[in-house]
Formats: sequence, structure tokens, C-alpha cells
Amino acid sequence: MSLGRYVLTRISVAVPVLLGVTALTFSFIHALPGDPIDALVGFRSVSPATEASIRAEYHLDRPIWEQYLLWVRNVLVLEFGESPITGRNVAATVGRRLPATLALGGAAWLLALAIGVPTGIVAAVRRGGPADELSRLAALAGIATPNFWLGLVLLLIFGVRLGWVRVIPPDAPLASLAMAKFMLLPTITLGTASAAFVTRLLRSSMLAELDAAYVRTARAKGLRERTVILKHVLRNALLPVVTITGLQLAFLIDGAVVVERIFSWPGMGRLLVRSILQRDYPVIQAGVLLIGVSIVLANLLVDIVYAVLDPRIRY
Amino acid sequence: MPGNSVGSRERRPIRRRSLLTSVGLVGISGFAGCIRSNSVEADGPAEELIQQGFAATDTDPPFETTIVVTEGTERSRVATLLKSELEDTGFFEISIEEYKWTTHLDLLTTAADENKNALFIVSWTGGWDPDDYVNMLFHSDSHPPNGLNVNQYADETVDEYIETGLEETVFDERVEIYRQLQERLVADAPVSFVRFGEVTHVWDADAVSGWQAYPLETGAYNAVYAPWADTFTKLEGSTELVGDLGSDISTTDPASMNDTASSQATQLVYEGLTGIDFDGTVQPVLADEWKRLDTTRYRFSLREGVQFHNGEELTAAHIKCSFERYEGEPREADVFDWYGDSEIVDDYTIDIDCRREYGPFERRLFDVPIVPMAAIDGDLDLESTPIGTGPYRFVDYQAGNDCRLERFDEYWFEGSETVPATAPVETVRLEVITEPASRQGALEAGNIDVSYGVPSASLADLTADDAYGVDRHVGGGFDMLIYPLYREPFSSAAVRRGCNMLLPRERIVEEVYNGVGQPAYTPISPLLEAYADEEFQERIADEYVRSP
Repeated sequence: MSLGRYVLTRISVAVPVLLGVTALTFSFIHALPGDPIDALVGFRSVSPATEASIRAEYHLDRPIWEQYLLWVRNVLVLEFGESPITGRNVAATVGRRLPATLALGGAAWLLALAIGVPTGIVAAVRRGGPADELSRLAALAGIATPNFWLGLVLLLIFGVRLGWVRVIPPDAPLASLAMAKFMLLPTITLGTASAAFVTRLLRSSMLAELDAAYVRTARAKGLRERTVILKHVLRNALLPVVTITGLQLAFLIDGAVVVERIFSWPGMGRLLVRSILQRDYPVIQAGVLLIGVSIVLANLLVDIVYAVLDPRIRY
Repeated sequence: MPGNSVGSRERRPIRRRSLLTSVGLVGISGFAGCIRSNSVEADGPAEELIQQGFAATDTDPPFETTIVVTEGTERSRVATLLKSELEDTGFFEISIEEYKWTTHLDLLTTAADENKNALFIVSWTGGWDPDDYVNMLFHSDSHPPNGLNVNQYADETVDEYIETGLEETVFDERVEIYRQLQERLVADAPVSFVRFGEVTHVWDADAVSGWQAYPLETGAYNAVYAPWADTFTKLEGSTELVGDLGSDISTTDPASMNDTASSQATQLVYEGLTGIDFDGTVQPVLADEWKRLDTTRYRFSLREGVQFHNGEELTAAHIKCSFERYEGEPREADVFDWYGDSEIVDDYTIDIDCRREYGPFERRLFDVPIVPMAAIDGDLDLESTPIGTGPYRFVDYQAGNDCRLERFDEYWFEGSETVPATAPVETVRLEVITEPASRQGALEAGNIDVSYGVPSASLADLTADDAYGVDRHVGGGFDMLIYPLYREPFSSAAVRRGCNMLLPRERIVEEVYNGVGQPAYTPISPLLEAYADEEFQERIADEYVRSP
């Protein structure tokens, strides 16, 4: 099977997965006590007629399965409806948050790789040396530091004390120098743990490869050490790292709630938390769908990278 | 004495012991099969009350229960203090459960139906009328989902006080009713009142002058420019004031608006017939005067030459339609709880008929913004484009980011000796900053000029620092401990009153809230001075709460 056909097959498999995920969240959320009417009227008494008309407006009077099917039918034509809480268009609401989330998640991911991969290589090659020990300590600290703490400390030092960066996002478009400067701290906060994780993973996976017979052969036939490490060992050692970083890409995009809160970043995480608090079903559903899509895409990307890294893997 | 507080006077064997030995003994008594385990000494008036209640409900100490609080808030520390006080009596064994805010709310509203063995610590915020502090919490019609009387308290006398208080229009009479109501509530103790909260505003003293803390959170930005309340703010070296909002705005339509941030962001955009100034006095805003025609009918004369931001000119028809558009909307009770009908006398005169004699009438008008005809005809969607008659126009709102307002140059106010006709602040930007530590950070870094939500632990430092202005005022919020009335032994008022006496209120205010707020013994905030002045609070505290 060619890679192209493989991708197509995977995407078609993803559709039932996404249906399953959204159906599950739909039923879980409806199983919780409380509904959007409570959030809307704030536990004041409304006349039964008013309540009924609000319910009918957002199809909340229908059985759950019918609400779900209605939702699916609309999503198929990319119609995400209107939020009963804010009265705003859901696609527009999510669409406004998505770029900010992608930018921060993507930057943190790149940072994790940019730090994690070289450090991991050096640590493995200089096993037991000071560089290895140092990276071990740094990685331990990076993984053990809760990101809300790191974020607040960074803000305190660089935002409040030194005044090098703003504490809240500047009044500037996302793709601007001022915004890029502001994003430094949240990126570091979000990316640090991932970077530490990549370092440790790559180091152990490299160590396993360094003992392999092909490495001895490569060295015996007189290849330069640099070539041995980067072309042979690294390539093989990257497979598990790719698996993990692929999933982390999805995680960084979906799981930045705490960092978004500290840095007042207008991302998806905060939107989802607010929507869950207010039982804003259409927004929760759109968010969950988006998370599902991002994980499916990340996995797909991982599989493609596998095939590139290891010629034996063909789909 | 109300309720079932006086039970049998049966004396129990007396022996005080620590929790640990009591647990040990329960085990032993289990084996022995004949020794009763309810041998806890009552060594104070509170303990005696609890003991009476335990006897009346046939409960053996220690009674195991749970205190439920929201996760990661000061309330979990309140719960810890409370746990140790209650366990010290030997009558209780308490665990603490923390939940996310929504889960907490769900547990709370279903607690009575599920017969949950738990005490809840929650906050409630009232407004400028005493009814706000009692109706939703204690009237028997307010059991969830119609209100937040979550432990399903029902007392005919309380209901009667609430209803007559609502329909009483003579001020002194109202005060008397609400005082009696409060005394009854404290005596019966369906909940314990713990602490009154404060609003705390902090601003950059080099950039901002004239700022005042509005006592209610929703009105925080009245301080920018509210000529009807004799208030305005000046800026040094800038024409833009940057403030903060604690969460995203959910909607800007007053008929469905239900959260603090949305009210704050639209405070300068909308206006009602009346306003309530920083001292709680009703002031004319869009109405320049009014009189009562009979018990339920009022005649309002409107200010002439008032323009909406879309160019419409205010007439009596706007008033009528603005009230009536609430019908069928989520917040219809705000208006239709009292609104009967209105009659347009001429363009600038309107008669409003209440469905009943209604005590809070003038104050309620403050909460009903007058909107333009375009919104009533459906040409304008207030959910995204709020338009009113206020001193600032809404420019835009970037979801999750900030909200911008711009001075409205056609504003009706013509200037007075104390307030200029033109607001000195040209634009207002409200940044959404959810994390309190980041709000303080943003203020200290100069990214915002004023914040109403810095952590209470930092207030002392900021107050001592000349670079910041700090204004603190008792607000409409209070914390309370809700008892599971529907379960023994808390069905006994004696047990509840005993617990009420044990609450370490001073320690809670000092240790948990760093001195922000004040101990509460009654529900109505001292913000409404007449209903809850210090003398009254002290008398209630001495009579029902403090141990002699």
C-alpha cells in the first residue's frame, strides 16, 4: 500500500473514532446533574413557558440521542450552532481561540525538541560524564517543577521585577514581534517538562542503540563518529521519541489550561473550562471534536515519520 | 425558642477525651457489646447544646460527617479550622472533601434530594436590597432549582417575614421586619453566617486619581465616570484606563446576562432609570424625578435630550419596551417579579404599575438597563453589540482577551461643580486576567492601572506602598456554613446552634483571609447599614453566638 492510500485509510478510520469520542462526551456531560438552563437563569425562578421556549430554542427538550444526531448532522456540513449561554456562533468562538492555542502549543513543542534532542544526544554520547549528570539533574528539575509554579516565578522575575516582558498579552496581532516576545515565557513554561522528557527518553533509547552490533560495524569500517551517531544511531533511536512527541504535540495544544490562566492567554483550554462550568454543550462538543481531530492528526503524523525514519516500515 | 432546640434534658455520662481514645473506645465497646459509646463530656454552652441535640435525635457521638468545599480556595482552610473546632468537642469526626466549582454546585443543589451527609461552605453575594440576602436562600419556595435554599429549609414565620418585607414600602417598617427575620434565622440556624467579604480595589497611584471602590463587584467600573454618583477618575500622562476582568464576558444582553464580568464590562454602557451611588443612596439617572401616585403606581419624568449610542433619542416608549422585553428571557424574574404594566403619558412621562406593593422598587430599577428600539425591533443584537445611554460606547470584545470602551461624546451630563461634563478618561480597556497572582503582577508591571482582584495576602504590602492606592469596602458577599437539616443530628436546632457558637470567626478572618472581611453573625451585609448596623450585629452575636 502506498503512503497516500495509507493516509486515506487512516483518515477514514478516524471518522468512527471521532464519532465515538463525541458520543461519549455527549452522554457523559448530559449525565452530569445541572443543565444550561440553570446557568442561564442563575437559579432564579422563570415561568415554565419561558423555560420551555429556551429549551426548545436549543433543542434541549429532545431526547439525548436525538440531540446528538442533530449535532452530527450539523457538524457534517460544518455547522456548529449557537451557544445557549453566550448566544454567539460556536465556530466563530472556537475559531478565534484556535490560532492562539496552536501558536503556543506549537512553539512549546518546537522548544521541547530544540532542547530535548541535542541534550539527549550529548547525554548519551558522554554517558557518565559531567554533561550527562548535568542534563540528568536539569531533566529531573524540569519534570518535577509544576508548570503553574514555573510560570508564576518567570512572570515575577522577568515581568514584574525586571520588566523585560509584559505580564499580560500586548495589544498586538498574534503574528507580531511584540506578541512573539510575550510568548517567550509561556512557551518556556509549557515546553520545559516536555523538553526534559524528550531528553531522558532519547538518552536511554540512544544508549540501547549504541551497544548494537551495527554501531560496532560502522565504527570498524572507519566511519567518522559524528556520522555514526547522527546518521545511524540517532535515526534508530528516534522511533520511540517520535511516538511520544507526537502525542505531546496533541497534549500541548489541548492541555495548556494552567499556563493559559497564568499568562492570560486566550486559548482553547480556558474556553473549554468555562464551557464545562456553564454546561455550554455546543462549545464543549466542538472543543472535544477538535481535540479528537488533533490527536488523530498527531498520530497520523507519527506514522508517516516512522515510515521516513525506518525504511522497513511500509504501510 | 424556635424549632426543636429544647429536647430531652437527659444527662449523658460525662468524660471528655481526645478523638483518638474515643475511636479506640468505640472499637472496644463494639466488642463488649454493652458499653454505650456516647460518653462525651459537654464542657461549655456550645457543647451542652450539641449534647442536647444528640440526645433528642438519639445520635451517638462521635458523629461522622463531611465538610464539602470548592477546590483550591480559602474555603478549604476555613474547613480545616472548623474541623478542628468541631472535633475538639468529641461529638464529631469530620472529613473534608474538595471539588471543582461545578461539581461542588451540583452536589450542593442535589444534596437534600440525595440526603447527603455533608456540611457545605459556600459564598453568596447580595446587592443593595435586604431581600437579596434572604429570599433565594431561606424561602421555602426557593428550593432548587427555583432558588438556592439547598438544605430545603422551610419555616412559615421566615417565609412570612420575607414576603411582608418584600411588600413593605415604609422604610422603618422594613428595617424592623428584616431585623426580626435575621434574628429568627440566627436562632433557628439553618446555616451559620461566617464572614462578610470586602471589595478591594488597588490602583497605580502615579497614574490614577479619584478612584473609589464601588461596594458591589458588578459596579466596579462606575468609578471611571458616574456623575449621578458624583464620581470620576483622572489619569496622569495617558487617556486610556486599563482595568481587569476576572473572567471572560459571556453575553452583553442584560436580559440574559448572568455573570459578574459581563455586568462589569457593560456598567459604563447601559443606564437605568435610577442609580445607586457609592453610599447606597438611590440617585436619578435617566429619570430626573419620580413620585408615587398610589401604593403600586409611580410616575417618572424622564431626562430630556438623552441620546443612545446609535443616535436614538430616549423617550417613554424606550422605558416601557425595555421592561417588557424581559418576558420569556432568562432573567424575566428581574422585572416580572414586580412589573405589572406601564402607561406612556407623554414622550417624557411614564407611569409604572407594580403588580404588588414592592419595597425594593427604586433599587430594582438600577438593574434594568434601558435599551434602544433597534434592539427591541430585532435589528440590533445586544448579545454582541451592547448599546445604551451610558458615558462610554462599546467598541469591541476580543473573546478571552480584552474589552474596549470609548467615551461617548453625546452623553447627557452637562457638568456640575464636582464632576466635569466630559469624562477625563477617553478609552477604557478591560483585560481578562483570571489568575489573581497575574493580576497583581500586571498591576506591578504597569500593564494595568487598576485591579479589583489582587490576592488578599498582598493587600497589606500594597497598602503600605505609596505607589499604590488601595480602597477597601465591605461588600455584598458573605460566606456561610450550610447544615444538612434533612438529616439527624442536624435536624436539631440545638446541634446547629452549638456548632454556630463554635465557629472560629475571628481566626477565619485573620488567618485565612489576612484580615480582609469581618465576622458575620447575621445574613444581611453591614453594607445595608440600617438593616445590620454594628449594634444589631453585636446584640445578635451576644445573644445567640458568643459563649458567655
